[in-house]
Amino acid sequence: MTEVVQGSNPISDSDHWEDLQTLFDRFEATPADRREAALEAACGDPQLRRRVLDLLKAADLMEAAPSGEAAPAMGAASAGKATPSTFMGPYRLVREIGRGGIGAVYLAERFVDGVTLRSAVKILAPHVVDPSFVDRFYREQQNLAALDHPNITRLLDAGWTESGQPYLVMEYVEGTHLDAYCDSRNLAIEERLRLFLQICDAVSDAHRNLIVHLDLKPSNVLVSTAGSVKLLDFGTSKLIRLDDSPTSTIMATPAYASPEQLLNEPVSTASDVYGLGAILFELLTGRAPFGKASAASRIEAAAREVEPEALPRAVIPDAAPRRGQSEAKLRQALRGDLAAIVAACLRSRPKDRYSSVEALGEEVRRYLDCKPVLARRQTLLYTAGKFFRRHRLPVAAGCAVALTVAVSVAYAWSGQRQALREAERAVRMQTFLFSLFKMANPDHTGKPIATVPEFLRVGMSKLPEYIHEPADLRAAQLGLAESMIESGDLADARTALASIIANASQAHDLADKAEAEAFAGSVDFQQGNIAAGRALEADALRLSRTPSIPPRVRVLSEIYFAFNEDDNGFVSDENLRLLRSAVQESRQRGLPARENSLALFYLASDLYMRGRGLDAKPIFEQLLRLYEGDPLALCDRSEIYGWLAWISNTNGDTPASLPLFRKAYDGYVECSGADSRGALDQLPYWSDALVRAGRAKEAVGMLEEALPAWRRVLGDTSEQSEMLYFLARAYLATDRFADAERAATELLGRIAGKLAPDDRTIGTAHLVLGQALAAQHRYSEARPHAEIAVDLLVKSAVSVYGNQLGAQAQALAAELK
Amino acid sequence: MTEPKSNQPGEVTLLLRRWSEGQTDSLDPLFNLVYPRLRQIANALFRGESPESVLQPTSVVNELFIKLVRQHSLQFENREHFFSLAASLMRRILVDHARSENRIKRNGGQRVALTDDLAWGWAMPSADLLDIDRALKELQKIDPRKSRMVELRFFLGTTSEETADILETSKATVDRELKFARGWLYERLQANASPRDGLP
Repeated sequence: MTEVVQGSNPISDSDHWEDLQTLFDRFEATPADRREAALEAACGDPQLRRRVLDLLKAADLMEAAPSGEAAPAMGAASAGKATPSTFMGPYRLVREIGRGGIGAVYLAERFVDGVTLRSAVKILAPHVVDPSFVDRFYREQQNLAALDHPNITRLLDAGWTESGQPYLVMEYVEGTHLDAYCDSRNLAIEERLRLFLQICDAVSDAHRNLIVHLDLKPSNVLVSTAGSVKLLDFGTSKLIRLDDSPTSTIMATPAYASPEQLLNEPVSTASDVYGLGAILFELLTGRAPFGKASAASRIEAAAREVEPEALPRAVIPDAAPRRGQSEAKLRQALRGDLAAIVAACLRSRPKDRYSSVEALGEEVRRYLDCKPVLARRQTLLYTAGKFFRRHRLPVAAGCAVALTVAVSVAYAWSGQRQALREAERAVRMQTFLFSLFKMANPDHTGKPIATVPEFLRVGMSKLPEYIHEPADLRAAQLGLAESMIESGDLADARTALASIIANASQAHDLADKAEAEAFAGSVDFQQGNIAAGRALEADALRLSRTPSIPPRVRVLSEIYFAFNEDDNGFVSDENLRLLRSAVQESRQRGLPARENSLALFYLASDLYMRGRGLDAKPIFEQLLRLYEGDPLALCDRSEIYGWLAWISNTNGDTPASLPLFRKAYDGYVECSGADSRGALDQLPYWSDALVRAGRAKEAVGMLEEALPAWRRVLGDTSEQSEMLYFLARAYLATDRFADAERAATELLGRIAGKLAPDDRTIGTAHLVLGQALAAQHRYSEARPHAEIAVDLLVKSAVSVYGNQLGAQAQALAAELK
Repeated sequence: MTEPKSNQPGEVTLLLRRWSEGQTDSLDPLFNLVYPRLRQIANALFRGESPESVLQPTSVVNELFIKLVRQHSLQFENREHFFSLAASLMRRILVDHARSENRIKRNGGQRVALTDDLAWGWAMPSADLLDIDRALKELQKIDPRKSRMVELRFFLGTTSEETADILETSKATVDRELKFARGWLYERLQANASPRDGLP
C-alpha cells in the first residue's frame, strides 16, 4: 500500500485518504489564491495541506483542459478544418461540413472542363469498409440510380485515395439541419409534422427501391430555405460493413439507433421506422428518445426492452416556446394520438412497430386531418401482451395476477362501452397500468412492492389519479377488485366493491352495479355473511334480467347466485338450470375464456355437490383441456386436478386419485407456493385418499407438517375446519384416539356459533368426535355427538361423500345403542 | 479467429456469477473467453496508422454488451456488477491494445478518444493509456470505488447520471468523487511522467 507513495509525495495518500477527500471537497470551490490561507486555518498538518493543494491544482488543470483536444482529428489537419490543399482523389476539400460515427463530410470541388462542380465528400474511417467496398458501390449503382427522389441526395462516387482513405462522393446540398431549421423558425407542431411527412415519403420511396437508410437522425436531414427536405447518406449503409462482422451497429448513431441495431440483430425497413420515430420524438419534445444516454446504457436498455418514456413527459424546458406554445399546451398536444404514434414507432421489437414507413406516413396524415389514429386502438392490446414479457423479473410473483388485471380491466373496458371513446380510455388505462408497474418495480420506488395484494391495493388507490370519468373508473376498479379476490385479499376487495356499488347505484349504471354485487355477494358468502351474500346475489340476478345488461354480466350474476345458493344449502333445481344456461350463453355469445371457464367450473362444482360427481367429471376434464397449454392457467389446472382426484377418491377409485392429488399439489406449489391456500387446500383431501389407501401414517405426517402453515395462513378462523377434521380422521385411522379427540374438540370450538345450526360441517365435527370418544370406550360421552351427526348428516346428504358420512354416523349411532 | 469457448454459455455464466459474487479472480478466465471476438473488433478499429483509426468505443461496447447480455441467466438486478464488468473489460481491451502498440513505438503515446464528455482523461499532457492504467491500479488499491467510477465514466462511457444510477448514489456524489479522482490521477501522472519500470 505504501508503494503508491512516490518521491514527490511527502505523505502517504492511503493513510490520509479520508482527510484528503474531506479537505478537497471543502475547498474545491474556494478560489485558488485563497485556498492556502483557508487550508491553514482548517488543517494543522503542513504536509497534508501541501498534498491537498497539489490535488486541487491538478483538478483545476483538468477542468481547464480543452475538451476538443481529444475529439478525433480528421486528415492531417486539426479538427474542424481541412486545409484547402487536401485532395481526395480528384476532389479538393474546401471545408468540413459534418461529422458522424463513420467519418467526416467535406464540401469538395472538382474541376471538369473548366467548370467547378461542388459535391460533398465523406471520408470514411478505414475500419467501416472492407477492400471490396468500391466494387460493391458499382454493383449497387443500379439500385442507387433508381433512387431518384427530390428529397434524397444522390450518391455519386466512391473510391480510395492513394494513401488508402476510403471516401464517398455525394450530391452537395445547401441547407440547415432539421432540428436547427425547426427551432430557429419556432415551427409549430403541425408544421413540423408536415416536414416529417416529406421525410417519410422519401424513406418510403427508398424502401420501395430496396434501400434502407439505417442511420436516420435529424443531422442527416437538411432543409432548404424553401422548406424542402433532403435526406443525406441514403445507400451508404449497404456499402459499409466491418469485414468480419455482418454488423449494422457500427454506422448507426446510438441515440437514434433501433434496438436491433444496438444488439446486432438483423435489420430491416422496421429499423428505419424506428429511426423516423426517434426523429419525430425529437421534433416534438426537443430531445432524443433516450436523451443523452451513453452507448453502453442504450445497449443495456435495448437488451432489457426498455422503451422510451411517453412524449409529454419528455418535453424539455426549451421546447414549448420553440413550438410557439405554453408548456402545458404542448404537453397536452403530445398526449394521446401523437404519443401513440411515436410509441408505435419506437417499440422494442420490429414486428410491434408500424409495418411500413408508408403506414406511419398515413397515420401522421390521419392525425393532421383530425381522423382517428390506428395506433391508439392497438396500444391496449400491445400493452396487455407486453406486461408478461417485460415484467417477468421485477414482479415475478405478481405476473399471473398482473396479466389477469390487465386482461380483466381491458375487457371491462372494451366489453360494455361505446366504441367511440374507447381508444382514449385505452390509452389512459395503459398509462395507468404502466405507471402501476413502475410503482411496483423497485427500480422506480427503491422499495419493492412485495406482494400481489399490496400491488393491487396501490393500484386501487392510484386509479382515480389516472382515470377521471366515473364510469371508466368503476370499470377499472371492478377489474382490480376481481383481481383482489383472486389473490385472496377478500377484505380489501369487499371495501372496493362496496364503493363501486354505491357509485354505480347513484349513476344508475345497472351493469356495473350487478357485476359488483355479484362479486361482493360472493365475498360475503366466503366470509360467512350468508344473509348479506344472498341479498346481494339476488339483487344482482334481478338486475341482470334487465334487457340492457350485457351478456357477460348476466352470466356472472347467474353463476354466482346459483352456485352460492346451492353451496350454502339453499339447493334448488332452478339453480342448476341457471348454471346450465350460463354455460350455454357464454358459449353462444362467444364470451372470453375467463367467463366460459368460470361457468363450466361452477356447473361442475355444483353437480358434484349434488352427489353427481360422475356427471361433473367430464366437465372438469373439458376444463382441463381448455386450460391445456396456457402457461398462466397452472393454478387453474391444479384446482381441476384436485377436483378430479377427489371425485375418483370418493367414487371408489382411490388408487387413481393419488397421482392426481400429487399433480394438484405440485402444480399449486409451483404456481403460488407451498404456503398458498391452493396448495394447502389439497392436503386434507389428499390425506383422506392416503387413509383409504391404508397409508394413514403418511397422512398424519403430511397434515401435522402442514398444520403450522395452515394456522399461519388462515389465522384464527373457522376455515381450519377441513384440516382439523381430516387430521382427526387420520389420527383415528392410526389409532391415536386421544389426538383425534383433541383435534375434533378444537374443530368444534372453532366452528361453534359461526355456522348455521344445521350446517353439515357441524355434523362432521360431531361425527369424528363421537368416533374418537367411542374408540376410547367413552360411549356415553360419544352418544350425543353421534345423534347430532345422524341428525345433520343423514337427511341432507347430497354428495357421495356426504352419503358416506351419513352412513358412518348411522353406524356409529347403532354401535352406541 | 475462432471462438470455440465463447459458445459455452454455461462457463461464461458461471464466471459471471463468481465475479458478481466478488471473486475477482474470475475476471481473467472470463476475459479470455470473451476476448478473442472483442480483439477482432478492436483490431479492425485500430487498424491503420492514420488519425481516423481512433477507437470508436461504441463498437467495442456493442460487442461486449451483446456478449454479456446474451448470457441468459444474467441477472439484471446486478446492474452494478454488470456495468462494472463491462467497464473493466473495456479497460483491458484498450490497455491490451496500447501495450501491443507500444511494443512498436514507445513515445508519442496512444491517443484514444472516448466520448466528448470524457475528453478530460486524454487531455493529459504526456499521459498515455498505459500510464493511466498504472495510475488507476494505484487508485484501485486505495479506493476501489473511485477507480470503478473512473472505469465506468472513462472506459465504458456512461454519463454522470448513469454512473450515479449504476452505483446507486447521486450525480452530485459522482461528480464530486470524480473530480477528486481526476485531480489525483492527473497529479499522479505528472509525478510519474518519467518511465517507471519498477511498477507493475
